[in-house]
Amino acid sequence: MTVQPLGEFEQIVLLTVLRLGETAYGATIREEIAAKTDRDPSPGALYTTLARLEEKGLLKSRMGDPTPDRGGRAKRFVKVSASGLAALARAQRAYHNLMQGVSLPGFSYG
Amino acid sequence: MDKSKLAEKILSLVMEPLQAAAVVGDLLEARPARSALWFWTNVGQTFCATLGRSLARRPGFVLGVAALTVLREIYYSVLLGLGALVVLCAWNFIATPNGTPIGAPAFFYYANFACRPIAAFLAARWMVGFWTTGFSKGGDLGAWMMMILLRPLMAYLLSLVITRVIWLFFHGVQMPPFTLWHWWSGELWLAGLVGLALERRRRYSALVKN
Repeated sequence: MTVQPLGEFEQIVLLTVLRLGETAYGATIREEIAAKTDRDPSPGALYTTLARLEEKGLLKSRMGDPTPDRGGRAKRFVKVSASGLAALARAQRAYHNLMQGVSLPGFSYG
Repeated sequence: MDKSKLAEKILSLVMEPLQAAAVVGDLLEARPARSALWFWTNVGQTFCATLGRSLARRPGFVLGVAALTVLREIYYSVLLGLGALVVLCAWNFIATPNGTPIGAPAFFYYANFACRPIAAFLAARWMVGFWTTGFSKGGDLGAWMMMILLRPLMAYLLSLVITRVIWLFFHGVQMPPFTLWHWWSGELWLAGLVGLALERRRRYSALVKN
């Protein structure tokens, strides 16, 4: 089976979910992406990406408990699955390989 | 109705009800710092993005379900039309034994139009039921919209067959042509909306119980 490569926004979402750990859900993911990447993703783009990643088996989700500040609505927490980690590692490896021997002003690839 | 409830209902048309509730919850969390316009813009954007995705994900399947539903609507329409024809012919015979009865074809013509909303409602219910029993997650609105798009084509084909062949063969006159008004009379929209609302409520209740 051919493994579809991850798109840029998919990688951003997966990395953000990894960073947030147990507290990753729609609102926090958006805030974290806005804080770390200087881009404010639209909810439409974010939720369709989350759904796509879940369909691919790269993310897992679970419903939390309803909270009053959300009008009694539950949060949908997500976490990266083992295949999600593998896909992310593969994508990052590709970036890393491409960056070998390339220098960008004001940036060093760790 | 509370605005957030309304937003949840709108999003429930294109995604799982629990997912829709979670999305609205996320937007409410961010809303204190934002305006109502921001909230509704994002609801609209999420709705469009999810609908577009559900259509693009399996277009062949969506088209297939839509086509089946149109056929189902025609089946119900003919069945109900024939039933009405029998009843009206009997009534015509009993009520006006000495008068000038209206011909059966005219009965069928009017009966067909009277039965179309019922047939459309049954077909819409069937389609929504089909989609909400595990074949799709939030794709039912997409299939329903496709059905609406397919309908003019089917109506045109039907009008070709009925008007130009059968009617001319028996009567030598042409039936009133199908007009845009007949195609887009709105009965299917209404039936579809009612069907969706009923199915969603049933499905949401089942999810909450579980």
